[in-house]
Amino acid sequence: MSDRENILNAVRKALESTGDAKSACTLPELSRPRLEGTQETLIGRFIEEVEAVSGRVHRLANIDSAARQLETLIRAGKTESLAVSRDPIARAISSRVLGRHVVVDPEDNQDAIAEADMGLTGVRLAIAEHGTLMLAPEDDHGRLAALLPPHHVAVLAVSQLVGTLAEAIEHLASDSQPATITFVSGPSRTADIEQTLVIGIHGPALLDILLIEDTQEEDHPS
Amino acid sequence: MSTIHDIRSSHFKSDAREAIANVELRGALARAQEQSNSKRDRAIQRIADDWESMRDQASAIKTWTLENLGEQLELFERNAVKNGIQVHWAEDAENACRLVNEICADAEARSVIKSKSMVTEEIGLNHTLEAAGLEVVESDLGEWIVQIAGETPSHIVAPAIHHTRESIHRLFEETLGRKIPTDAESMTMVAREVLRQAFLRADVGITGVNYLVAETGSFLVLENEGNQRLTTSLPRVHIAVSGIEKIVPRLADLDLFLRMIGRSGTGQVVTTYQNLFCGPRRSPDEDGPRDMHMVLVDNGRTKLLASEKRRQTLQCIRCGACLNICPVYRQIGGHAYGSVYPGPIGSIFTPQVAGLHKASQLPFASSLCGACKDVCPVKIDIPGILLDLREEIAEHGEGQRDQETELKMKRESPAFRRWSSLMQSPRKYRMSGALVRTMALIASHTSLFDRFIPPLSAWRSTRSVPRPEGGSFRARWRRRTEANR
Repeated sequence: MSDRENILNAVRKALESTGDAKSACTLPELSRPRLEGTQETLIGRFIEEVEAVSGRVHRLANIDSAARQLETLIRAGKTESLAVSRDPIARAISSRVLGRHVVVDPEDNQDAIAEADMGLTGVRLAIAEHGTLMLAPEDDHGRLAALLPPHHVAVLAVSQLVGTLAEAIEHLASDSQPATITFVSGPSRTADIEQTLVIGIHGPALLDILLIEDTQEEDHPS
Repeated sequence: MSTIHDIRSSHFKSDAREAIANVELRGALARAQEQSNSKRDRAIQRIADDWESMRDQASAIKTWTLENLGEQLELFERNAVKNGIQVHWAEDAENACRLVNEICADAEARSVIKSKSMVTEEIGLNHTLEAAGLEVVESDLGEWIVQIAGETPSHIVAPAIHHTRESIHRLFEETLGRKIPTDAESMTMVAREVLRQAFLRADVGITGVNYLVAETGSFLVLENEGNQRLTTSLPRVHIAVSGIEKIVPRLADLDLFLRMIGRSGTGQVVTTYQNLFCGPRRSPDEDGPRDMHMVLVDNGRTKLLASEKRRQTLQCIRCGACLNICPVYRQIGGHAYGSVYPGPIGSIFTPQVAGLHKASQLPFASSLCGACKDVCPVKIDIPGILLDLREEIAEHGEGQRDQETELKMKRESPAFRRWSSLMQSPRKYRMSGALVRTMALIASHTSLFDRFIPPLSAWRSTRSVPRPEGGSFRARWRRRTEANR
C-alpha cells in the first residue's frame, strides 16, 4: 500500500475508535471584523499602522505628484537604478522620471533587478487595520522588483484600500487565486541576534508607499 | 517508523543540570522571555475584548478539522493538484526525506536554500540532503547561526535564542575568516550579503507550512525577514513540507489565525510577510518556481488522533508562546529537552511522536503551573496531557521508561503510597504536619541532617529551606473562626 493510503487509513481508524465519543463539534461561523468609519478614517488608520512597522506613506493627489515624490525619493536615496514592474500605474509614474535614471525591466534577467537600488511596483489591495500591502505578482508580471532591491516603492490608489484582513481575504476568494499572494506589513526585519531589532535583512530595508487619490491619466500629454 | 531526528531526551536530567549551571545561557533566556512576554501582552491588550472569544473560535476550528482530518486532507489534495501543485505523502521521516531527495535529484539540483521549518528539523532533512551531496543553506538568520554552529534550534520561533551577541560574533568571524563589526546591525548585514549569494545559486527552495487551506488547495507560510520570499521566488523548484495537522478548512479561517499567531509568538500585530502559495509560476509571471511540490508528513501524528484528549496536541500552531512563558524553559533553554520541539508543547509532542521510551522524562519536566495553557492561542490543555502521559508512564510504562525515569518511579512510588495513606486519616495528617514543621524549623537553622540524607541533600544543594511560621493552617483557621464568633 502507498503512504497515502496508509496515512488515510490510519486517520480513519484512529478517529473511528473514538467515534461514539465524537463531540457534537461544528465548524464555527466566523466573525468577519469590519472597520467602522469613512474613507478618511481608513486612510488615517493605514498610515498609522504602516508607520508603526517602520514604513512610510506619502499622500498624493495624482500621478504627476506621485512622480515628483518618486524623484524626491530617488534623489534622497542617491538611487542609480530603478526596477519597474509592469503594473500600469507604476509604469505611468516611472515614465515621468525616465531619462535621468536607469530603468531595469523585469524582462531583463534577475541579476539586473538584483543590482537595482529601488523597485517600483503596484499592489492588488491594501489593508488599513494592519498597514498591509497585498501583492499579487501577476499584476506586476513578476515578484522580484518588490523583493530584491533594498528599497521598495509601492504605488497604491486610495480606491484599493480596504478595512480589514477579512475583507481582503473575501476579495481573494471571489477572484481566481493568483499563483502567489504576498501580504507585506513594513520592511524586512529580524531580531535573531539578542532580540535586537534590525530592519532590512533579506527583503527591502525601506518601504515607501505612494498613496494616490486619483490615478487617472487623461490630462497627461503622451 | 515515526521518529524525531537526533533525539536525546533520555539525557534530559543531566543536560538540564548542565544548562542550569550555564549562567550566560540563563541570562540570555531570562532577557528573551521577559521581552517576548511584555511584547505579547501589549499586542493582545489592543484587542483584549476579543481575545478570549478568538481563542474559543480558533480551538473549535482546529478541533473540527482534526475530527474530519481524512476528508480535509483529501479535499486539500484534490484542489492543490488542480492548482498544479504535485502532492506527495510520507508516512514517516525516512520516507519524507527520500521523497525530497528524489525531487531534488529529478531537478538535477546541486544547491538547496531553505527557510525556517520545524518539520524539516523533525525529520532531519538537511542531514539526508547533505549525505546525497547537495549544498544546503538555511536562510533565516537564526537558523543560519544554528546551522554554522553545528547545533539544532533551541526555540521553535527564535532558533538562536541561546546565543549572545558575542558568541554569534565569534562564530561569524571564524566561519567567514574575516574581521566584522560587533553590533547586531552590521552582523545582520554581513549575513544578508553572504546569504544573498546562496539564494542566487540555489536550484531548489524548501519551506515549511503554517496553514494548508483545504477548500482552495493553497497554503500559507509566515516570516519576517524576506528569506522565504526569496526561497520561493528565485529557485526553479519550490518544495513545501508540512505535517498533516497543519490544515484549516476555509480560506476565511486564515483571518482569525493570522490575527492570533503574530501576537502570540513575537508580539507582532501580524508578521511582516505572509505568503500564500497557490501553485507554480503562471503566465504572465516572469519569475517564480516552475514546479511546486507539497510533501504531507505523518511521522506518528495519526497515533495521537485516537485519544480525544491527546489529539489536542495536533492543534498546535507553533507560535512558541508556551516556551516564552514556561518557568522550566526559562531555566534550562531548549537544548536540554533533547528534541527539536522543546518546552511545554515539546514535552507532550516529543514522547507521543518519538515514543515514550525515547522521552519518558519530558512529561515530568513541568511544575504543572498551567501558564502554558493560559497563553495557548488554541487552548491546548498541556498540563492535562502531561498528567495523562505521566499516568501512562507510571501505570503502564513497564519497559518503556529510561533508567532515570525507572529510578524516579522506584523512589517516588513508596513515597506517594505513604502520602496517600496520610491523606486518608485526619490523625495521621495532623501528626505528619507537626513532624514536617519541626523538621523544617531545625533544617532552616542548621544543615546538620539534610546535608547527609538523600533526597533532601540533593534538593538542599541548590536551595535554602524556608522557616515555617505561625503554626499549622488548621490551628490558624481554628483561631480565626473562634475570634470571629
